[in-house]
Order: sequence, then C-alpha cells, then structure tokens
Amino acid sequence: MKAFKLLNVAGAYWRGDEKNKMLQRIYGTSFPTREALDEYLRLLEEAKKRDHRVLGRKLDLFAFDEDAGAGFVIYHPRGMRLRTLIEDWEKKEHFRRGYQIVQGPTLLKKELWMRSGHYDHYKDNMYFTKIDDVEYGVKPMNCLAHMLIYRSHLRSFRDLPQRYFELGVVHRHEKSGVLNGLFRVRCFTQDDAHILCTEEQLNDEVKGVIRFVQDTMDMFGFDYSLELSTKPEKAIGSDELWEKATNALIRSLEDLGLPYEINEGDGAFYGPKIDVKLRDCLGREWQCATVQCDFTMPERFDLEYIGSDSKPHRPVMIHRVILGSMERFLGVLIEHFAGAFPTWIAPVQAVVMTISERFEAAAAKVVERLREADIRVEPDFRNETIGKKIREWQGQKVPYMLIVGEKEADAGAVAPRTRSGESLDMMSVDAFLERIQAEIDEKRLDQPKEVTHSEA
Amino acid sequence: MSKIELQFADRSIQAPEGARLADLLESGIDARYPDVVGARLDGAVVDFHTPLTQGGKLDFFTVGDEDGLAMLRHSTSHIMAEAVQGLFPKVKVTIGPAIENGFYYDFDTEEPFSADDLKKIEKQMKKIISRNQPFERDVMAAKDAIEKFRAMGENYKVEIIEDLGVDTVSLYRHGDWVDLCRGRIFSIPGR
Repeated sequence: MKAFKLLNVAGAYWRGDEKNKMLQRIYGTSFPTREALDEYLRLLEEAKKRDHRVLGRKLDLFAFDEDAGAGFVIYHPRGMRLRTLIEDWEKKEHFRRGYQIVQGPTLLKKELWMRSGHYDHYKDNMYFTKIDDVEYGVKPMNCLAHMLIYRSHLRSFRDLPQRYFELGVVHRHEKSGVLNGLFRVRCFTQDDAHILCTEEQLNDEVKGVIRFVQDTMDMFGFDYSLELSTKPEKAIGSDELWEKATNALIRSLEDLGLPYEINEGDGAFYGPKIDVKLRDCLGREWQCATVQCDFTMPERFDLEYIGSDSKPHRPVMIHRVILGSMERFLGVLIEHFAGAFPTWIAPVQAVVMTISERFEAAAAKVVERLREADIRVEPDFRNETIGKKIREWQGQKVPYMLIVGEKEADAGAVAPRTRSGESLDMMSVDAFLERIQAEIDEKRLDQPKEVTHSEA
Repeated sequence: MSKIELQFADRSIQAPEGARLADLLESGIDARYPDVVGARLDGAVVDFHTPLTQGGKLDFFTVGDEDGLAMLRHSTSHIMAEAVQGLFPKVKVTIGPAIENGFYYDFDTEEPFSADDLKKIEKQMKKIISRNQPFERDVMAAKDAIEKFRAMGENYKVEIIEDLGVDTVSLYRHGDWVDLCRGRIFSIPGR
C-alpha cells in the first residue's frame, strides 16, 4: 500500500443531493508498484493539459454560462463549425449505407411516454411541461417519433429494413453535482438511428452497424473494444425474447470474428446491447457507439409488416448510435487531439499573415483564392510582428500559417508553415491548394512530414 | 460445526463453516501465497477477514487483478480517513469507496482542506502504513453499532446503518481507529 498519492479535493453533496450538506471529497490513487503509480500520474498530468474545458475556452469552441443554466452547451462559431463538419460527414455516410434522414418533435405527450415504457423506467431523468393542460415530456430518446413514422404506412416485407436516422436533440436530467463539461450535460445530440427489420435480417443489420462503427473509429484513429450487456434486473419482455435478442447480437459478433466481453445485467430495460468503448491517446476508455436490440417496443406500438405469406408479422427494432452523444464525442476529440484537429475538420484550416502592411493587397488575393476553393481561411493583416502572429496562431493549433512577405508578394505565392513549426519552401497558391486538398480528401490524421528547410 | 465445500481449479476441499481465507491460505491452498490478497466466491469478492458461511467456487486473486486493485484502493481510503481524523479530530467521516483508478473519501468538515493539508495527510498515512498493523474485523449488532457511532458523534455512519436495515454490521479496526465496512479490506497495510 505504499505507492499512493492524494490528488485533489472537491466538494460533494452527501448522497449526491444538493439539499444536503456539502462535504469535502479527497481523491487519491494507489497502485501495487511505484512505477505503475508514476506512470499513472504522468498520464494525469498529460490529461490536464488536454482538458477539453480549458481548450474549449482557449480555442473559443464552446462555453457554459451560469446565466443560461448549468449543463447546457453554448457553441461558439469555431466549435459549431467543427461539429457541423462532423455531422455533415456523418449524414453522407448514413445515406451511403441506406439510411433515411428524419426528425421528430422535442415534446411528446406524456401518454405516449407511458405507452413506450419510458415514463415508468425513465421519468426521473425526464423534463416535463404543460401545454393547454396536457402534460408533455421533453424527449430523452428519439425512438417514439421513428415508430410513428413506421406505422404511418402499411408495410410489406419488401419495405424492410427501414432505417431512420436523426441527429436527435435529447434532454436528460442530471444532478448538478455530476455535470462535467461536455462529458455530462443536460441537453445533447445523438447520431441516433432505428432499424426496423425482420428476424432473418437482424444478423446482417447488426453486422452492418458494427462495420459502420469500425469504419468510423478507424477514420478518427481510435482503438476500441466491444462489450455485450445482458438482461438487467428491471426489464420488460419475456425471457424467450431476451434470449433471441441476445443470441442475435452474439452471432453477429462471432460472424465478424470480433473479440468482446460480456457485462452481465447491464442491458437496457428493453433489450440487450453491444457497447463500443473507444480508447483515446491517453489510454482512457469512452463509451460511444451502442447497438440495442428491441423486441418489445414494436409490440407496445403494434408495429406490423405483411410477410411473404400475406400474414401480419412483428418487425424487430434496433436502436443504434455511432458516435453516441455529439457533445461527449467532441469532448473526447478535443482531448485526444489536444485541440490540434486533423485538417479536414479543423475549424480554421489556414491563416494568411502579412509580414507588414505593404503586402496586404497580395495577401488579400491569396485569401480570396483559398475562400473560392472552400478552404476555411482567416486573414491576419494586423500591425504586429510576424513572430507574435505565428505564436498566437500556433497556440490556436491552426494546421497552416501562410506567410506573405516581399518575395511572396512579388511572386504571387505563399510561404507555408505547418502546425508543428516546419517551414516549407515558398510555393504558388495552386501548389498549396493541391497539397491541402489532398490532406483534406484523404482525411489525414496528421500533416505530411516534409522537411524542406526548418526554422528554429 | 458444519462443513462447507469449496471448489478450486483442480480440487475441492471441505472447510469448517466460518473459516476465513487467511486460515485456508496458511495451509498452502494457493501457490501464489503470500501474493494472494483476496478471492471471489462464486463471483463475489471476499477478503481475508470475512468468515465464509457458504461453499462455492473459490477463485483467488493477487493485487494486480481488477478486484485486487479495488481492494488496495478501498483499504487505502480507510487509511486516509484514519489519518484525517488523527490530524483533524473534529472531522466526521461518511463513505470512502474505490473508484476506477483510485479512491475517495467524503468528510464533513468546517474548514476546507488545503493543498498543505493534503501533504500533511499523506505524511500521516505513510506513518500509519509503516506501523505494519493488521486490520481486524468485528461483527456487531446494528443497534449497538448505532449507539457506538452516535456516541462518537459520527451521525453519517448512524444514518448509513439505519438505512441498511440489517441486524448485524461488520466493522474494521485498524489500531484505535474503526470504520463501518462491508469488507474487501487488505490484511496488512504495509504489504
């Protein structure tokens, strides 16, 4: 027990209830060996440098405001641009994989929530309001509207699978004591989808979702692990249905030859699930994707399809999210890259900076050319030294700084400097555009290392 | 005294009901002794001090195991609470679990702890650990435990026992210091 360290003190309410006394919580850690402890402390130091709340402020991505309310994110322009870029990419991927985009209302009648079972199992996490004396629940999940969409038409087996995708904004009540930056908020957006299919299609659909998750993780450069969660204590649906659903998930994992762990009793109240935990560069694990089987919700809403035997059948429902909560994923992304985002999603991709006011006209032309090519560019024509400008924009983790001095202005060219501080030879704007466009198209995670000549 | 059956990887043994892991290990049941710190009995963690009241599959683990680490951290949080009350006698204790990668303990104190206080507490903890004193487990009727903690002024412990609604509770003593605890505590802190 000798290898331990007390880390910090925080306030904590007795039993997590703000109405109770505020206690002092001392956090500590201990490891079996001194080496393991030191390694862990090193990781903590590194994580502190990457704290997404600090970077969120420094890079002006997002903020929280007491006046607006705790747990509600305010996206500033650069943060929203980053989020939009990821969402745009995701929408494209969904269309390619046969999903249809939909959107349901934020408020739905309490009666509907009672029918789905959310009211009984989830009401402590829901917000409610009254409209004309009728009680409405603010949605904590997006399933309900998707089911209403499904049952709006008579469906045949030929119509299945139906895959509905929504960037759904949900609200879930959390105690104020546990709110934490982007990681635990009261309002967040899920890249949510519901698939309605036949039992025979279940295996292929689940495999399709898992492959989608794998492609996404590979693209962002995350390692990940899979966990299968089985029936919890409080659950709806028969044992037989639970067994069918659980086996379907297991079969999909085995078919893909993927290793997974089993979490007994950790499933959702309406079905077993597969959770994907990504591992960031500090070795921390974060829950992102979930694939949940659901045999009971379609029953509660009486969803049907006409089979090839001309008889009515009950479809199976799969709930799934790929990134999970956009907010949480952005927090993870910020910490994983320490704010130095890959060029394809960097909110500002290039800054054109003048060495002196004399070169403003030439630099303005460069900015124009880049804008026309849809590069996210900002000008810095301030009357400051080039050293100061470089330091500031380096601090903002911009992928490229394009310096325009006498040589460049005369040649109608730029002298690029990468985020890591490498100075590249002067090149024409066309040449630079070719270079950065390739980086964007390939979605490169790091900038190509080409040392032509380096500046100290 | 009735017997219970304990199954291991390669064999089964009969042990007297109420036997503790400490007793079993001393008889050479697991080759990794003395590195073993606890065991899972049908999946539930038991420490060296807790008497076994039923048989089942016994799976020993060392401190590197997930449950072993949790035990290490939970025990460290006990030591921390002991140190805090040694230095700041007016402070009341509440709960101190192991968490992922560490532990915490919540204290009721008028003055918030400063960074200097943390250093003092760490030093005190090192002193306590170097005494190499074992933990000892006691069992007490819930009523008596409530009286005991009430007399100590530890109203949070009283509230916890009342909420548990059980007949008896277990307490872990370390020297003069005692805490309400369900178990999963190391046998010797210095190890």
